[in-house]
Amino acid sequence: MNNIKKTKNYCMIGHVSILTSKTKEGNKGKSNSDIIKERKPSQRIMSLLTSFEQKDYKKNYVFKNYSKTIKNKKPIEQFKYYLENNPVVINDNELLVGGIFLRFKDIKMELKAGNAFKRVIGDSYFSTGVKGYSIRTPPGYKNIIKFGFAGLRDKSLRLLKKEKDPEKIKFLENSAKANDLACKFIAKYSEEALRKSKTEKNLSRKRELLKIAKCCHDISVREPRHFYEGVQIIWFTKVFGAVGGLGRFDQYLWKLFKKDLKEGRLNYEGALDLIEDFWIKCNLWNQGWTAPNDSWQHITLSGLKPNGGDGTNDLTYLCLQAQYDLKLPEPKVSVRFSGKHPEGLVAETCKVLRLGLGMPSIYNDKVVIPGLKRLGISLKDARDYTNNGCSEIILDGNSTTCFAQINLLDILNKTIRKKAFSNFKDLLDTYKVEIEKEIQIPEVNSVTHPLLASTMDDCLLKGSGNCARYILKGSLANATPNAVDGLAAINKLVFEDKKLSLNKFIKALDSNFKDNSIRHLIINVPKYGNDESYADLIAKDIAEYFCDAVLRKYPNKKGDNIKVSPGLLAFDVQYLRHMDASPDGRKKGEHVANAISPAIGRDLKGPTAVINSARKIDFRKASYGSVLDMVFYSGLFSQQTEDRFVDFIRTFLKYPSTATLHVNFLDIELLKAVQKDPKNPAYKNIIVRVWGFSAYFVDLDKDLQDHIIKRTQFM
Amino acid sequence: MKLNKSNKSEKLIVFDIKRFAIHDGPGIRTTVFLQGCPLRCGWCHNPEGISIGKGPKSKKIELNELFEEIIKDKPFYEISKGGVSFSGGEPMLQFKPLTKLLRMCKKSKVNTAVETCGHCNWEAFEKIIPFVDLFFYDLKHIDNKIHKKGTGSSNKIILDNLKKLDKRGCNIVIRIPLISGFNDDKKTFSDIGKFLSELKNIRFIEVLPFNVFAESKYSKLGKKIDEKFTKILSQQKINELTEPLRKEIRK
Ligand code: SF4
Repeated sequence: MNNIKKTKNYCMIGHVSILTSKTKEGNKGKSNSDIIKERKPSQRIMSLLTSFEQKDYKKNYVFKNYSKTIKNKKPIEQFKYYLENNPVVINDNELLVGGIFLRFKDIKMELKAGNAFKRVIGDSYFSTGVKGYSIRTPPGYKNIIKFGFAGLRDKSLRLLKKEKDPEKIKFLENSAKANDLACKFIAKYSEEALRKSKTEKNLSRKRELLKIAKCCHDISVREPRHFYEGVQIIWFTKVFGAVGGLGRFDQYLWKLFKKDLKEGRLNYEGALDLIEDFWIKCNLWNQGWTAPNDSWQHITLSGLKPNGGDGTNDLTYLCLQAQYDLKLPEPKVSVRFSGKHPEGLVAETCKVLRLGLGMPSIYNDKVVIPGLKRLGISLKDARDYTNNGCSEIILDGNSTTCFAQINLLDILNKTIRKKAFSNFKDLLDTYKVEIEKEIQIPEVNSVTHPLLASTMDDCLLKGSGNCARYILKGSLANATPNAVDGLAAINKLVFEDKKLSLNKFIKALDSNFKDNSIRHLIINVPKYGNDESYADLIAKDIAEYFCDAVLRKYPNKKGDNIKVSPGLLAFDVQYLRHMDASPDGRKKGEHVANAISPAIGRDLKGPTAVINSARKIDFRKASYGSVLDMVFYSGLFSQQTEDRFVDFIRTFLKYPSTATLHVNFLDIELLKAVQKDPKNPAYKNIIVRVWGFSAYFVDLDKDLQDHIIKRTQFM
Repeated sequence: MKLNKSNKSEKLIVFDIKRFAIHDGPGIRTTVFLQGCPLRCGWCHNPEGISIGKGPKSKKIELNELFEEIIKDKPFYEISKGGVSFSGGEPMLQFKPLTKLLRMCKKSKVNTAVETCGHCNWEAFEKIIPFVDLFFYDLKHIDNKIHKKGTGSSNKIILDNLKKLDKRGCNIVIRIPLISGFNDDKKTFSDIGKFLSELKNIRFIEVLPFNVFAESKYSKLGKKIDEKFTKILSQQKINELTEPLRKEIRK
């Protein structure tokens, strides 16, 4: 087996001196990533990692009964109860402190957004309380950094003095109270650290505890002034129940970092140590109380600054380094590319991506910012976009949001059964009318949590939780690529080639493709994602039509803070597999495509073709977000060809297509799964590097597949 | 993009097109596999590409259509300094239409590479040279007798053409298939080294151990491959065998 492994790369012996002088640029075969380095985290971080693995954390839990305590109470009362009953615990080795140790045992842990949070802090998690829609709004972290909870409390009190309107007075009173509770809770940590320091024998730990005590004391009475204080107050915000994205972490902490560095209070190692502490904390959190893998703890890095300059800074790279060091599933990380970004940022991002964690996601400012501007959002605010923990595009600290979605494939299934169509145009037009009928937006969403509301720009000034500068109402289309493929199939088979009647087509669907020959015909019609105009132009037509129709049905008024924002995203897409068989050849039970990625297993021309197909659509119209998912086999790139991947990403950025690109690298377990279920369409397009070339994994015979799996284990 | 009407009827016989090829030259490339080969190597890595016009994958494609397919990934070529590669089989067998297609590619500023076994008239190379940025040149054996036995043809033209290409200042990457029972001995590599050390324009030498993938292709075609060729050599063995080559080149 050793032999097999060792011959995996064809041996190149051309790099000897007489040849290199002739070796050209493109042949040099190295990616120019040299900022992120192979390194070991500090001793303290390593110890934190082990204790996290041992789940020591959970032994501190205190259980209460929800229905007997805070059920039906007002949000401010619930928040008060939570903060007064959540135990104050400082674990060994921690520099960042605070956790959610209170649990309500009578709330079922459901894998549904929001419900999981109920278990810990009742109804008062940071939500935007409208039933039936996905509701989560991240707080304005930059305001928390700017003012601290103490500052927000004082601001509320100041405004309160001048206020006459009883509604607004109530709001401001609650804001002041919530922020005051927050300060008191933080102060408890200062006392606890001080208490612990008195008995601590280990001198260096004693110093750390005193440091914690000072930090928590200071941020309980004023705004954070140092990097450490900044990271700590962000973590406390999470402890208070913040959900959704973590915003532009490297931007709102930058000033504090720069100042500390300048004044010699902090060095890079020290900053990285704190960032890694934060990273580990995010993983504790996820264990406790959110749906698996969908924690919404999403950090956005780099991108344009509000003033139009590039935001890449040392913190950007330190965060990437933390991800590289720890290889943990949390937090999720995204990197925005402004177009003015340093060349090296792409290579550094790729280096982290190659770990195979599916992160960072890649955001293209060139697509997102013009999209937001179309809604009437100011350029300055548009440049400050982030995501809402998933892929929904929001404005950092300036917007509340929720969304509604429709299923384009389901609408197509219903449309084709409506009447007899004389030609494809007739069908397409009818379909579009049906889409427009179905398009919906969520009801107005207000911010019910008093602490959350006070962190948003404009809410305090206007004295209402309903007054964030922007209320983004997403309107999303699901299963778009499947609908497109279905339309292409109907056009080709029914109207162009007249191979079968629409009735026969529908019958085949009704029988869930009992007659496989019809399904076979469908599969052979060109599909979206293969860089062929036939299906791609339908994709362009439908995707752009949907976005235009949303804004036609719900136009954005100038000066109104409500902004309807169309998106080509999917939420809870995994449940759509239970839909009936569809015209794209999908059987009942088979998954639909995610967002605007090609239907599963239908993109057969490689990754460049996928990008080219997508590029035909104007994604600036999909201002709430558009995502392309890509999967590479992790062994595809050798040391000599690593730079090809970086160039691939560079091309994606230079020639804009979707707002967001997700890249996954497959591991060995997946290849084994493919072997067990080779007919699964999801596996059809997995490319593996065989030697100096690549091939579809399913095309290889069993022996060679085994071979690849085996040799990969040695990589 | 304006297409040349006169190319309409001209076609190339192709058995595969692979996009996002990242191991056939610089950058991100599209590799077009042309059918037909004058040699008959017992270990051939593309057995479906040897006989021209045969097999289920064989397709006659008009130059314009092929060009359209190639040009699709232009943005990726541009950023990665990639382009198009022609492989096979032996692309030089169809050098007339190929030259036309290469000219179209060059006109659109697409980097071009051709992988050849070198067994064709020098005139064909003459025609094609102006439109090729990089040649991948297969070198299998220096000893003519052994070469003949393994590939069915003499290596005289092959070595002559290589010298001429080098003299003309073409960029050349040498590819040596390392096949057990054919050229897995130090003397071969020392001879190859001596031969190459006379040349001036070699950018790179790649030694490619026998390609296991080929074996599965044979079984798909209902053919069998001589087992002696399929032995997998250890990296240590490969290093040992190629050491004389390294030495010669370093001289
Ligand atoms: S030269 Fe190449 S394509 Fe031709 S027979 Fe030999 S290995 Fe096959």
